[in-house]
Amino acid sequence: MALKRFSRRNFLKTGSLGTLAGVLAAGERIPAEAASSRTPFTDDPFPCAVIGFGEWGREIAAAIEDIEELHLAVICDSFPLMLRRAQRAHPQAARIADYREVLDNPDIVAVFIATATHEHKDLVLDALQAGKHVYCEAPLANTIDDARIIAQAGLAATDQIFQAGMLYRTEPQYRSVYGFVRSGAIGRPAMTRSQWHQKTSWRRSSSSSERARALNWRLDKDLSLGLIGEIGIQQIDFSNWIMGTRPKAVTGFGGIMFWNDGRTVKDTIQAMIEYPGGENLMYDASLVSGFDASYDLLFGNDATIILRDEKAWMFKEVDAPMLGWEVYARKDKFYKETGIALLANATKLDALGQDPTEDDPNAKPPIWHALKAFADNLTYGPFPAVADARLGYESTVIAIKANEAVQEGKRVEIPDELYEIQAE
Amino acid sequence: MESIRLAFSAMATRFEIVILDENPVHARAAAEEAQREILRIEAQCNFYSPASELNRINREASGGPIRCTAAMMRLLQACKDLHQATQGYFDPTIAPALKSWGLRNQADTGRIPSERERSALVAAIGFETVDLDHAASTVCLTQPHQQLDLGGIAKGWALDEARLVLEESGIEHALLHGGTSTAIGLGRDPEGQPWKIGVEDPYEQGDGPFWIMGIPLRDQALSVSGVRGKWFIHDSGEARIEYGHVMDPMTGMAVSGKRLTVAVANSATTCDAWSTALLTHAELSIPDEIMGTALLKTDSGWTAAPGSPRSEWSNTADLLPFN
Repeated sequence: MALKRFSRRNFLKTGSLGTLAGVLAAGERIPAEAASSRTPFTDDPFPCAVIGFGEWGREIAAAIEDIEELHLAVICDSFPLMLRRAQRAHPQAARIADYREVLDNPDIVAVFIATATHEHKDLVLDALQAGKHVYCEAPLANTIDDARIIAQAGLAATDQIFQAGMLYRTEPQYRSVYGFVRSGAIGRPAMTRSQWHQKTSWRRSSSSSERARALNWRLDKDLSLGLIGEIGIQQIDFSNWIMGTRPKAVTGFGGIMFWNDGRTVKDTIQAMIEYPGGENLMYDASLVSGFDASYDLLFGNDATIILRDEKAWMFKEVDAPMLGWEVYARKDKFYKETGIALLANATKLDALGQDPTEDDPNAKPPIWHALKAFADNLTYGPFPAVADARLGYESTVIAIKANEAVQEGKRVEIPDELYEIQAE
Repeated sequence: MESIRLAFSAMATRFEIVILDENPVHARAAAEEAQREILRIEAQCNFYSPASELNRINREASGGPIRCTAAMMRLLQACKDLHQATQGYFDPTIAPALKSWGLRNQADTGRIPSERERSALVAAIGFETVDLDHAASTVCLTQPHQQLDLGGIAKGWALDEARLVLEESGIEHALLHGGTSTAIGLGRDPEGQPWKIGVEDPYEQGDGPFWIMGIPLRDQALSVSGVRGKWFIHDSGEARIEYGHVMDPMTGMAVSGKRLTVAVANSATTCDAWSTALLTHAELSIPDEIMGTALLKTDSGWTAAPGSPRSEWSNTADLLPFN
């Protein structure tokens, strides 16, 4: 059994080692191992491991290096080439091919799982079994059965953190817009629209054809949830969050419009996601055209908000009530429209003499905020993760059903009971 | 063999990757991975973007050591090595001089700083004063007003990293270039010959191209530097002098005159540094593994700059005539 860390939050609450016995007596949830742990009461960063050093694993590793509470101790990948890349990018981290060796290492406190979606289940179960805190990329799995097993294990491990890789729930700009919409700023939400466009084959290369097949699991419909499941899951989750509900059905379309290279996953897709209140999310994604990149739009009877590049602007209807603060707000022209800048940290930037529409020198990518939330939970928790096993499961269900609709070009209902899950 | 070509914008110029391979699907995927690597380095080394790692170093590393990524530490160590090898004539701390000369930003029109200004600039230049601590993974800018500008080397560095990605993907034949001034040729061209790079005369007007020389690359890189690029003309009444965006770190003077330098080596990073250094100091002694020359345009055409150690290069069999 690996070390479970003594909660720093609890330690801070108690104030001194002298009161530790009192804390224990009071029934605080402290694992027995804490008493004999290596450095339980220091501020040393938590040694952790990234499992899977593909493109997204590299993003995670880079973010970990930029979070002082975390220490990137191990990078694990079964592909020697990825370990060579790990050596170049993170020479201080140990490189290990077999994940079981990582899990057997008692010094490793947490693991970040960034392998192919269909490989998550065994890794998560083994990691939780080994006593590690787990961050698992979204979608959790490529089948509902696997996703349920993962989520149930995450819910059952009450002494451990399980966080799903839903990025926007912890991103400051998205959180700010969420609060803004919930306060009624756009009026009655009518619909949402999101897109993700990038001109890329989505294919990975390898000098070994066998390895290339494994690396290109995203292009295989039997393993991948396609664009809507692997990419769209994040934007759909944001729409769900804003609407405060879960989709009841999804209708999908799509085709292989350009990258006709043997793949079985569509390169251009559209989907209409229906909410119980009658609102719809219109979603499209394409690997054929990079035009207009990606954004999210929230339409209401008083205003529309657009989010792109972790920035947001609001466009008001002419008959919308005046908001007290808007006369002071920064406004930017978008062709014939004028947008009111909604910036999570605009006041701070203004105070520092920086232009809020320029790149924020302290800006971090969404993955950094997701991992920082995980690190804060390690440091001060455990408390329920914002993106917990339940949210990860629900999002994965939607991703799976949406992909089914897209692949088969039909309407697929998502019954409420499919979302239900109990800890085992 | 089929050919695939991927072009994209990065580092304020156009990058291009051409690959010859029997499997174009695989080649395209490899080119995209190389592109991602170049874009990653662009984001990291962007002098202007407040979100870049380089910008953070320039903002914060004057106050004491700050932590850097391992990738940035490798790049800064390469700068350190090349600074030393070029006897200080390649120097990434020339950023304040570029600003003072009005050659920093796109909207700048150029100016000649006074001698006093230049003296102050020279005091802040000197990459040897930049502290790198590899154990702690930190960098510290020890001189007041010191800033790093990796513009002289970033394209080469990005191309070298992209080359590595291509080689790891099993690509054997490829041509990569950034803005046509830095290039790498791997394997053979479609005719089974080494990739041949033409160096064009930037001063000729009219229907060209006007080639100065052609250089075959045998798994090698090439870099060309010149005064033209970002430059301005100063008319003193007696003479019209062109000043370009490369600074002499010893004097704080911008390079002037009709000059061009060429360097060929195994690494594009090395080529970038040497072609920059030779532009400011043609007399530099070059290691044997690097081919480099500084050329001057005179009334009778291009000729080796006085003291250029590879002045005989223009007569070597490595140079191919263009038709």
